[in-house]
Amino acid sequence: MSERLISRAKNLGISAEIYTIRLKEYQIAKERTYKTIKGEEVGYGIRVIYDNRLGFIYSNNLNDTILDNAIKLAKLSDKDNANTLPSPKPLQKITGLYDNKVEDSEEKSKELIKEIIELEEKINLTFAEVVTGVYEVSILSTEGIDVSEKRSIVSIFASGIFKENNIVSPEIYEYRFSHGFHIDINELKEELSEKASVFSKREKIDVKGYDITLTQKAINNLLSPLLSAAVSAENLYRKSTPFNLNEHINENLEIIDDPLEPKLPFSRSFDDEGMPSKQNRIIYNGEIKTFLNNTYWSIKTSLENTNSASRTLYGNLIPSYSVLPRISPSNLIIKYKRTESNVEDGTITVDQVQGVHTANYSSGEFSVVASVGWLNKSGERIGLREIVISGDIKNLLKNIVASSKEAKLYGNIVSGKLRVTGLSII
Amino acid sequence: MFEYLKRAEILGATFADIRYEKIESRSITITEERKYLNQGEEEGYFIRIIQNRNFGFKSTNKISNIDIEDAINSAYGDEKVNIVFLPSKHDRITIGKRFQKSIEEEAKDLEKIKEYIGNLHESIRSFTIKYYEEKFHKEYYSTEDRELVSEGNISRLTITVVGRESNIIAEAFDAVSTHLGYVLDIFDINEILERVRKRLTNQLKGRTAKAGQYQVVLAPEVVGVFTHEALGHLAEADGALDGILYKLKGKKIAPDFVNISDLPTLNHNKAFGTLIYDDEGVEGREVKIIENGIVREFMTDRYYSAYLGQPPTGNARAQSFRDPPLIRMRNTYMKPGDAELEELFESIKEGYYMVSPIGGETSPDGTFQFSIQEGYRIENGEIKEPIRNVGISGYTIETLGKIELVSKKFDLDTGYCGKYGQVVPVSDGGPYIRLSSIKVGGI
Repeated sequence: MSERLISRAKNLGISAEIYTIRLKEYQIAKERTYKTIKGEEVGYGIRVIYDNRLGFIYSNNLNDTILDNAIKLAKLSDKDNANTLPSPKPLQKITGLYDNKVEDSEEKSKELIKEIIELEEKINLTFAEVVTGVYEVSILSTEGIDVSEKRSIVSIFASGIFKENNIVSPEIYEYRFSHGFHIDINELKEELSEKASVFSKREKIDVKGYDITLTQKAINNLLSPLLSAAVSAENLYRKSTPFNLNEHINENLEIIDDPLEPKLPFSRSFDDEGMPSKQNRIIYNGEIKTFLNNTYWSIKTSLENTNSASRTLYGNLIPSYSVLPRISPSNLIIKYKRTESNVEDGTITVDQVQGVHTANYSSGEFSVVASVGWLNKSGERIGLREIVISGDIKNLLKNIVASSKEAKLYGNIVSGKLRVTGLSII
Repeated sequence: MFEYLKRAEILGATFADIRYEKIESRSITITEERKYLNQGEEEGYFIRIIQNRNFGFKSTNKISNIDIEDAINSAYGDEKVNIVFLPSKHDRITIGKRFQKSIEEEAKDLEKIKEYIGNLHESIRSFTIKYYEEKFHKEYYSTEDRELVSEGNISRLTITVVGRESNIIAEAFDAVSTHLGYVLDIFDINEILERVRKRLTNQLKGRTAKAGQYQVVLAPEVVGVFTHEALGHLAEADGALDGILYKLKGKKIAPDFVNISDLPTLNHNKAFGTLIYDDEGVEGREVKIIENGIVREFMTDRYYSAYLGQPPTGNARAQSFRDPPLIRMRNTYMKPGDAELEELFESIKEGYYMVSPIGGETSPDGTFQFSIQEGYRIENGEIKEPIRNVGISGYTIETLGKIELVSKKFDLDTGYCGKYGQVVPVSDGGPYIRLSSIKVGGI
């Protein structure tokens, strides 16, 4: 049916693209009881450009009327020369994005859940979940794009609290993503129980003036969404970012968007418009070198298309057929030249923040609660309560002073722990 | 659908239910340079079975006996599932009011709003006007011989503007949603635009608050976020048992005049969380979370009703046919008191008046954090200059105990609530309240 609709669009003299997702998921979760869900779905997103006007329709079913309805919507839209569909470019397929063991993942997922539940001996486990998915992304267009790729994803999540007498710790969570089952479950368990144990005593101390160290989880929670917005070419064009091209940020800092490394969870051979994936140096030699772009915004900004079109909604792992392509980084590699063995010493470590969605994404300003944080004092970790960190993305990056030696993958970032000075902390 | 339920019973299910959902949506987006329209339709089934006291689930676009078998085969657990069973019932209901408006008419209405925004404030560099409309049709069937069909619609308008003056970038938004018809027939667009203008200019000229503990007045939008985020989530039974609220059941944590409830329906044009039956086919009822300052009860699904021995509340909601129902809020609000609005400000020497939040978040240990997009400094009982980039935070239980006054005046606000990756429409609100102290964080 996709081929027929594309052929019909060609005959009508319009540009059309059909984005298809075929998905099979298995999920096992343990809260107070177990929930196991099998899911199957097929969905289509149809983008039509008629006279430089855009129309978009999504559905679980493809039929002839969909194309007509998309054209009708396009006719009501504004004419805009940037409304075009990309032409195909040679792409090199990345291997390692699909692990066929994930196709039949029930038994393995059950084993993993059992392993996580062993944590109940140490902490009050509030939620444990293993989600596995195999999906195929296909893009077919009148411009000649004809790509498809099978990918697999495994996500493991666990959360728990330390609860004793009148002490209830904040809820601490850990999550890991991978294309297969190559996730070190013991490392996740140790992280969770160690952090919970910090809160067996919790103090309210004057935290003003301390440097903070962001763990990889905090970097993924706080820095990653703010940075993603700040380096979007759409936001540059719409004057909704604090950054400018070639602006000096931090001479020791380098940030790369890397969709090509197969081991990283958000890698893909092509972006969500079918353009070949490539590495993009966002911050290089301490300066903003690249704003991430897709076809539409690269025409608007007259900047290079970084092939960063994405249909993955924030917080999701699998793209959605129901949205138009936006701009989003894939995996973010953060490198800081100055490293220290004991980067956390004498600082307040921030491991989890809440309230990031309330930040001002145009200016990059934020005021968040560090719900999981501790003071590192003389080799001891003292759990803290009610810390508020305020600042903005630009100064946060400018004020990074050191990184831990070891880098780690967390969510879509690979980074060391980052020590930051000068943020408001109360 | 009952033939599939029968099939589940033949295969060994002691209980089964099936949800069918069809959603038709459309959206129109207008920015400073773009206008484009989207339309969508999706449908599917969610099958749930209980076998050997374990749950099994399957979601699919098209249903067949194979899906029933898949649900049965997926059943797994420690054989501890017990749920509340309900009597046979057949019902068909409509949520809110249907309306007929063509997409062409709606696009023209948005074009007019674009013209207004062009003249709203000289600092505006970019803006997004987004209209979203949804027609939903839901069916629920269970082996208890329950057949419940509900239909309705959502109409929502969101306006976001970004302004820039010298080095300050300010962002302001307003959103209104309703089940009661076309959103622009229900709400006054001039009032919405005025709110956006005021919030933007306040952000541009506002001063940063001096961080510290202050006496504050919270307006209904902020009280709403407090009741929803800071208290409501702690009162969802799945979180409550591991959180701080369950052990406080029957205990007084706030003054007598503090009453907070979650209701399935409310006679208000912003009661956006309205439902008659939840996604487990349960009739909704009022949940009195705090009554006269005392923690009374918790929001439940069928499982937690049985677990806690509490009558079902109808709080199980799923974002779509793909998702299992979770315990979710509906319309959550603090009930009004008897104070006049002026009384709340009178005795404040130095404090803040928080009018509109950007949003908030809470943790099971009771910490909460809200960012404020519209707020003012208070000096000697008078509202002074606006503040910018400010957040408030604290502990829910401590904060409830610090409520000094509750106004007669009351309002609701609409929004979407996220939990475990699922988003559902809700409303929250309350009166104006005065707190003796709360942490105000500035930059």
